[in-house]
Amino acid sequence: MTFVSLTFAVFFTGVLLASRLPLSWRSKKLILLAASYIFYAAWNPPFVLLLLGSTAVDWVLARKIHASSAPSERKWLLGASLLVNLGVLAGFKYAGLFVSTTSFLLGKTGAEAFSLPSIILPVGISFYTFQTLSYSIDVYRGRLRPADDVVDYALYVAFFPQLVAGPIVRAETFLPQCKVETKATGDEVGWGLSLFVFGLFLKTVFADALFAPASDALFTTTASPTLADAWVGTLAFSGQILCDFSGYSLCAIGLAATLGFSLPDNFFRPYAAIGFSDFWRRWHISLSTWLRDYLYIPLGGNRHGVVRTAAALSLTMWLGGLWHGAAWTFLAWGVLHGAYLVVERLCRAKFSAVTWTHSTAFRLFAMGLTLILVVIAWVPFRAPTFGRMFEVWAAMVGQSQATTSLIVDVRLWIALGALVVLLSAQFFTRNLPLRILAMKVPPAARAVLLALFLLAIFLAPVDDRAFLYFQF
Amino acid sequence: MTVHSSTSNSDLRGVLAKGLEQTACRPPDGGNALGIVIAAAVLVVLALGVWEGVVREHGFTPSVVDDKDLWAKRRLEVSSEKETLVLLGKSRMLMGFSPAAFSRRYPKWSVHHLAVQGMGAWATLKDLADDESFRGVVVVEMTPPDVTPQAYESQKPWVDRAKAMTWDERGHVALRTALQERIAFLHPRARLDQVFESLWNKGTLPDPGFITNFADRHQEVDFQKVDATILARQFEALRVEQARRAGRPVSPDFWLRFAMQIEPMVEKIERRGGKVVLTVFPVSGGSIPFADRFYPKTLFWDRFASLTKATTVHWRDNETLAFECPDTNHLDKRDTEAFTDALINEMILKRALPPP
Repeated sequence: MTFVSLTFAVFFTGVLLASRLPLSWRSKKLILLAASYIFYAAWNPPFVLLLLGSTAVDWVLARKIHASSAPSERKWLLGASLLVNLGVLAGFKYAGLFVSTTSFLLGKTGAEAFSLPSIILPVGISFYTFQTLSYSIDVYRGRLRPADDVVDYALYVAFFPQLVAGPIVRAETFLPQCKVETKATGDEVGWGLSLFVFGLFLKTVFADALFAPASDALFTTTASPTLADAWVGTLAFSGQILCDFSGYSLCAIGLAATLGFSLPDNFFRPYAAIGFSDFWRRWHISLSTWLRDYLYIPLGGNRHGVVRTAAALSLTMWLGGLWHGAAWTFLAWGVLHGAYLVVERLCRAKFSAVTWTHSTAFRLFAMGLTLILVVIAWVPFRAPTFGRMFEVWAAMVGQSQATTSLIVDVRLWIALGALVVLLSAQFFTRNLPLRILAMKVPPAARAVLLALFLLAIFLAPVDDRAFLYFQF
Repeated sequence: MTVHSSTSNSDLRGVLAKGLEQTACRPPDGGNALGIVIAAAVLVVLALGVWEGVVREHGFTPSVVDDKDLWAKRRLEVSSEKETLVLLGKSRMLMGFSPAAFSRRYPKWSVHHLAVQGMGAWATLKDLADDESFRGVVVVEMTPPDVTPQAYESQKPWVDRAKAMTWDERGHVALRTALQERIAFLHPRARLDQVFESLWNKGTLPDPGFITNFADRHQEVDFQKVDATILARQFEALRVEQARRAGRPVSPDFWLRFAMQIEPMVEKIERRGGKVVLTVFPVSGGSIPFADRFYPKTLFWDRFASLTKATTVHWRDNETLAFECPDTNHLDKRDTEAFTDALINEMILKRALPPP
């Protein structure tokens, strides 16, 4: 069930009304849990069993870890959690890639090609697996007491607003919210609905109606692109993925707010970042902080010298790339970002004392450079093959023989216009949270803006498109 | 990736100090957020009400978006009851068969329009044949050129969509269609991009067109709203192009071999007590000599009809089925009920349908 469907509108209205009934908090949590499983079952009912299994495994293991005082036993139990969670993720998500790559490599030696039957990827598996993993690891580290109530824990894993595409929530922020009911006030319901509408607006209007046609024109064809095609199509995809994913996150945060839950922010004007460490503090924040806490720091972080830090950074980014999808092009995206971060770190160490690097002009230059390099890195993320990736990159630097443009019509100007609006908004509100921005707008103007967003959603000329991040 | 130091996250603190705190879920201070949402909703209802009036004034009436999703929903509604009528084929079926006329004579039967514009029916017929629960009557509108290897596969994406459709997608399509049946600004030709394009190019709203799509997927064509001679000329040009591409006419034996690939599907359905009726809908004007030149009835259709176990109905075998098609290929909405009645009579006569 996607947020853009009318079924979801009916479903959520029912859930919201149920959350206002004069019932006990536990009954309401049970209703929310049941609603979350129904929400998940809408994609593929049998996969609810997988979700239940994942929930049960970490519920049991975390309690055992907490109860045990023997370090070796605790390690074994944590190992079991990692094995089950990562095993399931690997089986569903990466088995196909592993087998096809092995077949390809063996094919080079003359062996016969082989393949796996296609495996359906359970939607949201990458997200909820990371949540259950972080829960067990936090209990192991002693940062978190296991949940007292299985309903609370199950709701933490399956809470429908963020179940299938994040934000990835930590148990330490979610479980305390399950202890006592915090009924959303009228203000919170109104603000939550406003965020939901704004998120849907970003998704349906900006991502789907304005950016997707130009992006698709470049990446869903095999025809050679011109220099303009390569840049406009890639810039359009940069806009599309930001609006699609940040739109989903806003919807999730807004829906949760109407139900009295706080979810963490997931995006903060990433295209106005100055440098790549800044970019990753602003892009998919819940994933980047997860990778920092559960991968980068355990790999040594920056405590063991330049080389080890660079290795930890790179490995973290490579795995972060693969987390997004079972294709080597995603790894290439991670490799690029890893390299960006390593180079930036080296440059910072060398030039941080130089005064002109703190000037406004340099900061603007760094912002532009960051954006361009981030855009260039989106090519492997979106390109279906390495061949297409190199073709687009070649066209970006003028190495294209194409004479006929792929994005010849009004789509080009629409995408560019939308990009100007998006980047201007990112730049001018670089450090302004949405709520502060909203406070600067008079209430009447906010109502008119919200009405315009809603009208645009109703009348947007797009076909149904799933959120991009459902595939991850 | 955040690359804070594992011992110090001073970078993060620096950014937080500039206002990057996690606050999206907290409502702004000093505003009535719920009041704002309610005001916005009222504005939207008012604006959409005005817009509805404007598009209706311009001649738009409600017309549903007929896409793969609607088709898939209708396919999944085909029941296992014997009193089930499934309509397959292309645009001539969508525009020519009146479900209302059928339901008047067979009120207990369910009717399912599964024809697809420009796509041969065979993948859907195969799907119904493979559906062990299906025992109803299938009426297939076909033309001899539909019998090609490509046409066998052309509706497969529709069949696949139905197989992959989830219950919430069905719910979405049901709700969406219910709205589109009632609201004129949801007309496929009143989409915002088309409105802007028309305003930009012509300075007026787009033309509502002469075809209305209904929730049961049948279409009504009102040729009084259009210059049918222009459409007839377009079909003529299409036929010339088809003839040029076809080169010499296809051999009847070659065609018959392909046509008989339908037979296992027919047998499967009829073995379960169902019926398959293969029909050729009326055409007129230049379409008749084209058909005669490339697919002479005696060499193609009549031979096929003598071999297949399906019931066959050709409009040229029964003058009550002959209707004038203003564009040479499709019936006007004023003729569909009479045509459907005539087709039903013919099917009753041939025992493909029980008497009402």
